[in-house]
Amino acid sequence: MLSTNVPSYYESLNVGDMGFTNLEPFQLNYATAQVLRGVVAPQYMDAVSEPFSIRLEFRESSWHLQSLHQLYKSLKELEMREVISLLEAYVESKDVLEYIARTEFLDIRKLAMLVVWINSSLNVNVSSIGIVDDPEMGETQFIAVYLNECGWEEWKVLSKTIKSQLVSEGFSDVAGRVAIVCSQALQIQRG
Amino acid sequence: MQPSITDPERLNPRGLLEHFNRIMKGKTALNEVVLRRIISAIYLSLFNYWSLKNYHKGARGEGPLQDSFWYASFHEDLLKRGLDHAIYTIYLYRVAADHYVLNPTKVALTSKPWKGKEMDVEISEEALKRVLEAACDILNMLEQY
Repeated sequence: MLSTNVPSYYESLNVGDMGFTNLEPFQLNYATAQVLRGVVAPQYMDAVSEPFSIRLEFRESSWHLQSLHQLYKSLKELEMREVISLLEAYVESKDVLEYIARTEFLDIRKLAMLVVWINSSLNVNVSSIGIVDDPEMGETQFIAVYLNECGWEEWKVLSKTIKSQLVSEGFSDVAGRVAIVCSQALQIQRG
Repeated sequence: MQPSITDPERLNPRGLLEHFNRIMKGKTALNEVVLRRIISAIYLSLFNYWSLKNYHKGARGEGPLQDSFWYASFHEDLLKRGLDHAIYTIYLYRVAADHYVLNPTKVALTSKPWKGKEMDVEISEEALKRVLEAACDILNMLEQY
């Protein structure tokens, strides 16, 4: 089990913390923390395998939310290929991320910042990322960040919460170019 | 009638949305052509209203009178205000209503060469209720714009 080999540093990982060090002996590159119903679940990733999670007990005394700025600062220390690797689990094709980076539709580090922040600060998880085009002109309209398991009313609150946080921390560009989407809320049953 | 340049409320779709709400509450079932045209009209009426309000505030678009704006700018403005649920919903259904003919269908919102997420969409009266609710959320914001 990986959990027996994880560096002790990560056993005290706080919500919103990111770890980028001391993983080489395990041939891993990244660790991020997610909150899964009261449990901090660091997510470890390497270059070849699918992301996988272990669950650690959440230490209430160490609870704090990292600001978007702090996350962005950490991500700016990574090389672009590392940031793209961090987001690969959320796209069907790496081409999506390379397109975003190449066209500069959105700073890819800011996109990674948002995904990590949502996963670590809210009680929801990002399931995937996609580009939304206009079918008539073929132009990119926005990047959709799809969330798991949220309904219509929750979607309204999450959109407002995430966007007001982005704007308040000076990331209006991200707020305007990313749509938070609860796709489950759009599965409308016949009345 | 006031020219629209001096009266942005001329394009306020409040009356149109109320009219659609009344149609929805009627006893007559709406056929698919009507549902599709209503969904499309809702999206474009909000886009028109936003464009004119935007112009009135000093923004300029394309065309001889610089009064033609991009969908992307409309979406960006609403997304910044946290209306993601509303704009994504009316956009998805508008694309389905205008560009896809099967019902239910699967809408792919990307035209890039790689595969994008597919959304299951059914154009129905229940879906129209959701689109109208989303439209009202957008209109409430635009009236204060």
